[in-house]
Amino acid sequence: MSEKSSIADEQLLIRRSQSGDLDAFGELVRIHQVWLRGWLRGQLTDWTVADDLAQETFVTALKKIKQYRGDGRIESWLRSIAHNYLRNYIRKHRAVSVGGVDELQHLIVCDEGELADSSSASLEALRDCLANVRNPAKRLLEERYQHGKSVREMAIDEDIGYSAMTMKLHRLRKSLATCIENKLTP
Amino acid sequence: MNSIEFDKLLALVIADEASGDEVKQLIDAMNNDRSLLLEARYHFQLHGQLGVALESEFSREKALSMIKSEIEIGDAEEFTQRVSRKIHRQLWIKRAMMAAAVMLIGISSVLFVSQFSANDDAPENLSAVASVTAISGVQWLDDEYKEGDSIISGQKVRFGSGLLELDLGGRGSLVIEGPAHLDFTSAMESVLHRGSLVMRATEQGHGYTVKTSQGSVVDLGTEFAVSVNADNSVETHVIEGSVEAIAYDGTSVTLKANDARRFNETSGQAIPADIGKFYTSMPPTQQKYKYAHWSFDENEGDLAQASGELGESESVNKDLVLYAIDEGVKPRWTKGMKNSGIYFDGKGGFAQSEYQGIQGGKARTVCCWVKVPEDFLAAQGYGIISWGKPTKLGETWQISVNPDSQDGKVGTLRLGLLGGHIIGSTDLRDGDWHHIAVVLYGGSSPNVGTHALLYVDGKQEAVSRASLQEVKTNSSNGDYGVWLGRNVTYRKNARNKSRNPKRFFRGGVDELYIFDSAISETQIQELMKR
Repeated sequence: MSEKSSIADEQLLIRRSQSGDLDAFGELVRIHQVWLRGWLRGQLTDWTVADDLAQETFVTALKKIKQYRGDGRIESWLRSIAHNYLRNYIRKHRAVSVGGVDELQHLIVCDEGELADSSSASLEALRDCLANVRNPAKRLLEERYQHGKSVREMAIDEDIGYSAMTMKLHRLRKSLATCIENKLTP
Repeated sequence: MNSIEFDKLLALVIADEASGDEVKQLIDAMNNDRSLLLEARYHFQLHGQLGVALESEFSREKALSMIKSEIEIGDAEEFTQRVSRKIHRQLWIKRAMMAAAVMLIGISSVLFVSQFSANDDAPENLSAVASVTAISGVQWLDDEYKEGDSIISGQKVRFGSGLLELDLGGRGSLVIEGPAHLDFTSAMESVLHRGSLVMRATEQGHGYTVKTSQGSVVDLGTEFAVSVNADNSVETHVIEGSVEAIAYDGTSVTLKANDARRFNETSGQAIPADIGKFYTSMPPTQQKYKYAHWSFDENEGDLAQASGELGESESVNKDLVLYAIDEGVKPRWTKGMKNSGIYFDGKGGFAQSEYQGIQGGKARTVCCWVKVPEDFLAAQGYGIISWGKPTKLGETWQISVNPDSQDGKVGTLRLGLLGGHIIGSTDLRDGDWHHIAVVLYGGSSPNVGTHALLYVDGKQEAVSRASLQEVKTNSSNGDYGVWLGRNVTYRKNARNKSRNPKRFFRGGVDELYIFDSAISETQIQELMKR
């Protein structure tokens, strides 16, 4: 499907959602939930909270869908709702002490100005890059991100030290980052 | 800081393996150099995206169905609120018109109109259709009920977590597990929007109907369970007797004992019956029990003496002996919640009893005071209290402070069995004493996901994460009994200790009790006051 027709399809889904069609809104959720959860997981050290905030975001989006005028991309609109939830969450849970995980959490949340970036495009680019990753790197990424193994468990399986494993994963992420940048470079 | 050092720190932090000092170093670097901050953000973002890009199809569908389920609940509430607003608006208009009529027609008419108005506003049926007989750990989301309260036709019960038992006025009883939303439409019918219920119908209750979004379940003289799942599918499991399950397309099927069926929007299919998923009764309120108690009031020496009848035997000494292995020191005596307590160093100090703990799937309660330091590290959570063998699924019983963010919220109360766990929601990492209790209801196949309750400071915890695993605790042939402060999976002769850092608990423990019974919330609260 061309980009133009998919945008037209999405506009139709938005109009149907605005007239109360819950199935159409469900389709919008299906299209946008993955990148939104990915974006929230990138902002929060606790991924269970990230997934909960994604739920809240879509519940609010349904309530406010009639107010969406279509003058900006729905992705940005959804991200701004999510960003509000994120800010509230961080404010509520920010610890008084500095130097701990809570301060780190506060720092990694993106600024308002960074909201314009397209998360769905970078996720698509990541998927393309992942398609070219071969074993054993592919297996390591799957064990960490698909099977949810801890770095410690992976280090035991691979019979290497855990700090070596953290660096191995970090280098893999760095090479993926370069690949994504190349793909997103116009 | 050079880029190699920065990469190393960032890699450790993203892997959730950094120490407090390392986290602080990274924060300082990010605060001092915005380019490092942006680079770190980019890596966290990529880490998050990998989490969804590589998640399994099953996980993705599950996440999608949970969002859709929340949306439907939100939409239904919005609809209910709109209808309610409309009704109130209409009533207000009606009343205003009546008031105008009163002024025009005069005093004699007032009496007539008032009477008419009162009748008009009254619910159609004011008779009770159910009454509350027991409440356990319920967190109400709407109208609150207390034991003995009546529920009339048109009312609903809606709560986030906990268990609620209702008597249906001679027609039977319901045990409802939260999060739940149940509307009572008439004496013989209710609508389950969310949650699980088990109904035991009397002869008078035959024909009682539980409606759901996917169809209805009609009692034919039986005990049955109905659940509306997060993906909006509906399951019916028959415990005894039979039911008629009717899908919304009109097709019906009769289910007998040990039959189960799942319905969704398009189809219905037979599934294996699993009664272990449901609470068929409320936690026992009064019963005899035995217990073992360690007060830790010795305040000196290498022994914490036990009292109580549980586990009494001439050949078994229940006293806890204090040990140190690896780099640790023996648990030290400290100021406890009551008199003295003991403190574990998180490096190798632990305590061991010859008592083997409660075995199999038998009911039990374990409770104590714990003090978790504010600077607690993820590696220091496992093994506050544990026993059993870590070789087969379900055979261990270990109470911890959850150290794994992938399993649920870090710093909360955790019960793990090897293969399954249940995780609470209160962060214990504040350096204060907290009372924790873990309760397991016994049964033929009790499950950690459905038969265990967690309490913090006398209140039942909302469960943040749970996975299913039958409880089959087994300490047979073990060369140790109950452990305090030591991860049950850690063996002293492990080939490479450095690769399993989550070996010992760091923090304080006081007033430990093990009961051979599931004690109630009230009893836990009484125990806290002792």
